[in-house]
Amino acid sequence: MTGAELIRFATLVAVAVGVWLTLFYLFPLNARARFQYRATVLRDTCLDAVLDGRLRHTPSVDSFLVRADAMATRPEFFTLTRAWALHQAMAELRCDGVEAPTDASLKPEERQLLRRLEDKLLQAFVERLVRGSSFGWLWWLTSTLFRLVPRSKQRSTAVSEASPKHLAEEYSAMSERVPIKGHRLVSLSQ
Amino acid sequence: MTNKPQGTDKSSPAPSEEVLLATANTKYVWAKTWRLVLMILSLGLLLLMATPLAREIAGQNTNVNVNVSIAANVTLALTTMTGYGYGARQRNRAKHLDERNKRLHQRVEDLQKQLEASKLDNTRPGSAGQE
Repeated sequence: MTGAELIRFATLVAVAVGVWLTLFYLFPLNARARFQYRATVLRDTCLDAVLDGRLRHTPSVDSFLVRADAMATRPEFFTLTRAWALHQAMAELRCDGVEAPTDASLKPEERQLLRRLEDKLLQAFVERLVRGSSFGWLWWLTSTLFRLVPRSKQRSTAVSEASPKHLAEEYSAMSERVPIKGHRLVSLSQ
Repeated sequence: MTNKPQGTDKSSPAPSEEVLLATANTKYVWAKTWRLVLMILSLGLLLLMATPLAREIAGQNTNVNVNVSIAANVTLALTTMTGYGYGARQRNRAKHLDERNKRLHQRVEDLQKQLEASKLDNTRPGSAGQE
């Protein structure tokens, strides 16, 4: 191999490694940082509303604060692989998830504010699932295609329901039920 | 599958939760293993593609050389931009937390001042006599 060949080869290897590094490490890292920032802002917005008296301490508000705090402090627990693993386990055990606390005790304006915050948090988590890994894009594309296919032609409804939004809702509810710093959910990361 | 429980007790027994998490753990380990295998395979594939291409060009085909150079520059730019984006997000978060700390500190100070003022009002002879 001549010197010119060696240089070309080294450049190509550098390109390959660069692409790989960007795709599997830097993009997910960036998405995680964005998700963490958004969760922090939403948690603090809710907490400020509680301190200002615009929201009362109810189970639904506490539930939101617990989830947003978990996402803001431990974003590495909220990944596509973990959400997918939990979804598969729930499907296998025919478990239907957990019931969200009702916000019936809130006033209309309080309810509106909480729902807006809930929507934004869910959206941030969905974006994290899709952009947080290179497989996330593939997952999103697959679930979108499955949704476009008529229901009668689908082999299983479980596949169509495993959209990033559905995964996010399931995992988010579970993270609240089992505290993120608790022993059992931590064991999921090992 | 829906998110709402169908006839299940809200306070579900601990063993079922344990079973769910144990199953999720198994699935997670399985998914993580496959993810690692796919990641290694993808890198191997990229390197395998690079080898014959490098032999092919070897400084003879100018067009391919230019393309390789462009690809290298684009990759470098993309990596730098992503790294910069990550830094910017972290800076934004740090700034937000700093501003929030200041606001909370101010709030605590205001509450302390209010508390002191109300204590002073209570200890005044006039106010004590009125009570």
